[in-house]
Amino acid sequence: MPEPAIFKASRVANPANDAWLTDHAVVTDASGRVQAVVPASTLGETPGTKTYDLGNVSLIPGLVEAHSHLHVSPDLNGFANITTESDDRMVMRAVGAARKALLSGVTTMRDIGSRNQVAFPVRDAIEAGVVPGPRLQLAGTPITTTAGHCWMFGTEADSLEDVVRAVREQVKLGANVIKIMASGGNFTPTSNPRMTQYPAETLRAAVVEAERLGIYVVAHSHATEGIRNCIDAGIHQIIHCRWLSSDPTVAMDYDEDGASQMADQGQWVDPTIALQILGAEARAAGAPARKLHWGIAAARPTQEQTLEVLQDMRHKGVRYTTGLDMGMAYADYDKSAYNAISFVESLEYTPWEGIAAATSVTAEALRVDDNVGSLQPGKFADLVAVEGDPSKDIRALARSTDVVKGGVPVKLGGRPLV
Amino acid sequence: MTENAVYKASRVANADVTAWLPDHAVIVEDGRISEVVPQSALAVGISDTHAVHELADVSLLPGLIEAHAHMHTAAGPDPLYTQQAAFNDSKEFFIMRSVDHVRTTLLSGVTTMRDLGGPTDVVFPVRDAVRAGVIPGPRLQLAGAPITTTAGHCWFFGSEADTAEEVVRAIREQVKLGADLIKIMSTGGMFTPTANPRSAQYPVDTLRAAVVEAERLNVQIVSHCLAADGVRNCIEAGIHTLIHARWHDSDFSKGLAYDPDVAQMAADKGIWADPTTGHIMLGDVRIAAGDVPPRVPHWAVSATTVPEEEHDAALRDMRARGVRFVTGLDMGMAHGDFDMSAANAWSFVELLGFTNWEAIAASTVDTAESLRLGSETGAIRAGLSADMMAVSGDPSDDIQDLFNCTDVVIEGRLVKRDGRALV
Repeated sequence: MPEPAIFKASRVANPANDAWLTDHAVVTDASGRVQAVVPASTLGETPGTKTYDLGNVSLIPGLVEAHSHLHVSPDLNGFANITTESDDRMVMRAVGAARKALLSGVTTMRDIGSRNQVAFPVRDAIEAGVVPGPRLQLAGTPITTTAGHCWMFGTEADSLEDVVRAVREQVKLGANVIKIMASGGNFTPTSNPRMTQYPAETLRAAVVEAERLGIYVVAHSHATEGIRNCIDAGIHQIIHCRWLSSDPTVAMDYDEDGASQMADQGQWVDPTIALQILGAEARAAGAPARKLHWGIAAARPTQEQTLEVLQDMRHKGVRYTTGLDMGMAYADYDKSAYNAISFVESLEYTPWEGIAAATSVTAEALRVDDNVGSLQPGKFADLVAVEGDPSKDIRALARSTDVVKGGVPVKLGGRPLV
Repeated sequence: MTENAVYKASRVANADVTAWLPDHAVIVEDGRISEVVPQSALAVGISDTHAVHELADVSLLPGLIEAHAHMHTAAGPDPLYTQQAAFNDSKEFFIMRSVDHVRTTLLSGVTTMRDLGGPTDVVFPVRDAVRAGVIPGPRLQLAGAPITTTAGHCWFFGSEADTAEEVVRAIREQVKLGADLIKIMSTGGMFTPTANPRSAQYPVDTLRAAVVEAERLNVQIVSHCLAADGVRNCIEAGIHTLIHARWHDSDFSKGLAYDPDVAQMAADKGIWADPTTGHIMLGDVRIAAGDVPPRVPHWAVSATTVPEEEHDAALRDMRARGVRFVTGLDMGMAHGDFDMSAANAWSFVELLGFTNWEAIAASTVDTAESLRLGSETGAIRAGLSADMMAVSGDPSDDIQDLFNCTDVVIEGRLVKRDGRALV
């Protein structure tokens, strides 16, 4: 249970996440929310209030991770495991994954595709205090076609009517976001990542149904065809967004007008590019390469092409969420900081833009910015302290020393308390 | 990953767990202890082939052996909450609690844990996941579902069996599911309102049939007993370990019905006892400090509650007659916190007259012997699994130093270093 507390640090992120407040303190209340952020020197005697002097660290809002799969193993055995392991085993993996993410500094996490039998019980257990973990926003099983991308843990729905019913079923189970697979994907050999899985009108029906029920829809798409359908359907967020051509001999067919339309419609994108850095670093350390899907093996975009397109989309006004794709090969649950790192190192974000993307900006995209994402009175006291100054070296984000969720420290001085 | 390694410490427990070897080093290869040598005798250049861990001024001990856990239950200071959770939680909640609990237990220095009763669809999958390396946890020895009478002690996660034939079948079923030992409830218990802890649940013939069947299938059988009638039945039947070993009189108006001759029979037969004094002492300390409300006794003992001192006197007499004790906290029950296995040794010193080294040995080499794991773990000795824990301070001086676990190695894998979890 939270109790009123004071967290002091040399550097505290301001409410806009674009500059430091020097030698400030975050004052929290008994409900686990921020009461005030004030210069430490203005605090008088505070007998009876627990005070944590975190020292020479950078204190920022807890990270908001927009893309996890809690139930898988973040290694090259992921596919074999997902097709053979029991729900019980996946629940056990998820408990470890949730703790790992929390202790790395992730205090809010959106899981966009885990078995219903795994995702919802894990969220319930975190909320009941049975196991430690971030606040979870859940899609439960993704909606896909028969044998489509992630069918192994998805809800298979082929017709428009099937998709609408699947949306309703997810909401009934407790989903607060819908994930739909608009194209095939790398993880699934029986799907084709270059082709769409649903016509625009089916995706539109999913959007209408989700909005009717008060939630939003994110769609996986590598394929230009799928992206086009997502744009036409008004899907709220597009995951990956790689513009792969349906012609297997052509790598990409980026559509600039489509990107502008996406920006005009306020559609967000999760570019999942941190995986490129993590994959490259893992392979440099000796990890084997991931096997390339048959659908993209013939003509694969280079990393430069992909980044160039993502930069152009951003210049046209498309906004990006974090989204590591946790659980895929190389994307371990304690690597959320690599979202911001990759935005800075690969997409020319300033460090502060990277920090904001990993906190307040993604909180806005997840529609939870009234509660998390910045250090402001009334929001949850979700905090992460890191060594060094991430506004100078973004890689400092990966060196968390202290984590507080809802006013309760779960890691102090590098030592886990849970 | 296991690595070939050297662990250097100021104090290393000797092979019998009776004294320190000063400034020694433990050499670990392929997950097992290959040699224990003075640091001065280490080969020059050993760091070329082994990771060298300078644990420095710590006491390096065999990993603790916890002989009595219920991994799926909630522990905590509130017995009612613990009971309600055990009655009402979903299988998924039990699994998630278990995942958390086995990790906590490991990181407190316990490298072997015996679970004496949980739902079979929880404890076996968790053990399998630990063995597969999917989740961190101690080496697990499982009873599976405890065998009890209909509505008897722990029926809500037990296997209900009333006749001798049903009990024999229940043993076979648990072995089929993967049980490493059998737990049978020979009396009622405090945790179960519909059971009577002052009365026997099974006649001696039924317990004898259970022992014969367990021995035929090469597994141990241990039995919960809170009443003198149950203790006597267990000892006559040749049950291998008495759990709790409390001697309540079946008459509600009386206290204990301790029988020294029966206790002597237990000693003569080589029967072990798990006195579960650790969690009782932890509860008493917390209640005395005003941190938690006092216990509400079970209806069957509320008329004549027995002061802990009387129980302890009976336990001390049993020990004086030669009954050997294992360290079972009853983890998962109220005050049986999963990071508190060291309270076993603490209570043995405080309440039962053990010397510090006797209590440390009880928590390691003795309990390993009782669990029939003496050739695998329980001591820092060449050939055994590299299961070790380091504590700051010197528990041979202050037994409570056992709580100050800094480092843990299991099967040669370093899972905690200098207070920090690596898993």
